[in-house]
Amino acid sequence: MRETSLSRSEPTASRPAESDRAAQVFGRLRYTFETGLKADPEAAFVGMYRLAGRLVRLRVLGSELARCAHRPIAHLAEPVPVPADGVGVERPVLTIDLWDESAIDLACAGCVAHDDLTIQSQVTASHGSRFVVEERAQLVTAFDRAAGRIVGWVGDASRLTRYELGRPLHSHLLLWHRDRGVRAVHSGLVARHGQGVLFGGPGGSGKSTVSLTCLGAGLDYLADDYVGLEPDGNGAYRGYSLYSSTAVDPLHMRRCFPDLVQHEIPGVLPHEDKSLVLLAELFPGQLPRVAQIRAVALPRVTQSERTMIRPATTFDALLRLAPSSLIALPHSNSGAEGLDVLTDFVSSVPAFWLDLGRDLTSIPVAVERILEEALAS
Amino acid sequence: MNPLPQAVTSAAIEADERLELNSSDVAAKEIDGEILVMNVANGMYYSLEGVSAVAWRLLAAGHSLRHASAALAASFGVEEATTLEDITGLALHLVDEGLVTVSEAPASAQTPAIPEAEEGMPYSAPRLTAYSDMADLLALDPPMPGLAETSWIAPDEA
Repeated sequence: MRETSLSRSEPTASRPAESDRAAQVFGRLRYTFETGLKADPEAAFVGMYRLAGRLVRLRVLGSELARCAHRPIAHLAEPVPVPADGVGVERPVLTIDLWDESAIDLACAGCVAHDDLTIQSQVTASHGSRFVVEERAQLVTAFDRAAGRIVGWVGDASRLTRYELGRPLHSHLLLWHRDRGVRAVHSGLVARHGQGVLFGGPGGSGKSTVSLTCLGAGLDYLADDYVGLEPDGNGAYRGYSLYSSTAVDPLHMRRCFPDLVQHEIPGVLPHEDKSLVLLAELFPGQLPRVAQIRAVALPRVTQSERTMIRPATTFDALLRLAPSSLIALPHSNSGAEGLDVLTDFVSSVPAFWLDLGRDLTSIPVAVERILEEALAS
Repeated sequence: MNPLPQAVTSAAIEADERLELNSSDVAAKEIDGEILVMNVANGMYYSLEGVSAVAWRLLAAGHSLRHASAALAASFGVEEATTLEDITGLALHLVDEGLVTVSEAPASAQTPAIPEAEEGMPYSAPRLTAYSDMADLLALDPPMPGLAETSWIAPDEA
């Protein structure tokens, strides 16, 4: 598994052997999935979703895996009517096919489950990066970017990590979004009536606390970690929800969000120090897919009692948003382009410091005020 | 964040040499007179403002250290020997941090226009302000190994 990974010193284009391997892995996975689907088509879970405004089809063999794959994106589910004559049917631009070997006893050559869940994931790309393969302890997934198809084998769905449960197919989906001009930004996003405030800042700055307190106060929640950012063509930006999952420190959850505790999915690995909560089923109707971004807020923890807002500069916004978005996310081949996009974005909306006070109830009040000021400007 | 200490490089940069951005790993952007420089390869990022931003602009425009320091001296009304020493120190920091390299191409022959100093801005030796918190952030939100090498250019339609 590890020997196939790329290193920084060996760019993709110089490794023709990798080209064959990634394409072959995709081919094997696709063939095996289709064999299983053909054997029992009625057993497949089929769901339609709208990711970044695009129709996506999910097909899963194995009921537990279907539940795992559906829950983090349940808020993106799309009821798609199918006319009898088939005319006018919107075709999905991405199909995701997954199966659980432990559930349906369908093995795939080259796919080996590892008991050690701490094995680091490895991503391999073909020449030109058309095919991208990700291998983890209990799953192997492959993405054909040109055909718009992801196929994946899971050894045992009950052994998926908290990360895999909260952000299924994360790397492939980030790449898919990026291919469509939707850039993942390390930020939170809440909205009222489709008008959003995006929270920028590094880990620990308070994005999750702000997003979750706003959700609890009745605002719509789109994300507290990653937002899909897309220009709307008129100088403004849309923010798309990717997952409904949030990861919160267990002690922080008990102190600040006790209602979530009964729904927490604790981490099992040493580095999974945060608990997962899947919000879509807890807050139906409050997790929209998209919002127009009207302002950027930059949270930071203070010792004050009440949360206060004050204007921030465009440079402040860029400094808080760009490094964590462009460095923590794998944009190393497009750093300059990514910085251009984020600069355009932060220049398009007003920015505010959000100095977080101890009184959590004052946070959503301050965020609503930011939204009011942004809409009035 | 913290201003960087004195450069520790043993390399020297001649006054008539110029710098160029290490564009494979580094991106830079100016907004409202402040400069953000990011090294996406190692997670470090930097800001420059005031005199430091003026110095960056001169160096980024391809001027030699000598021409840049002359422009800086004229703009802020200080001795050229001082600005040459200061801008050489900044250049060494930039090289040390992997943000720029000493260019093999000749420096711009044109003398730079004297930048307009912001009213009331006193001269101080240009410095980089470095931010190293990305190491913590990367620990909180680990990137996906291997994806960094994956081309973001969409493949041709099948």
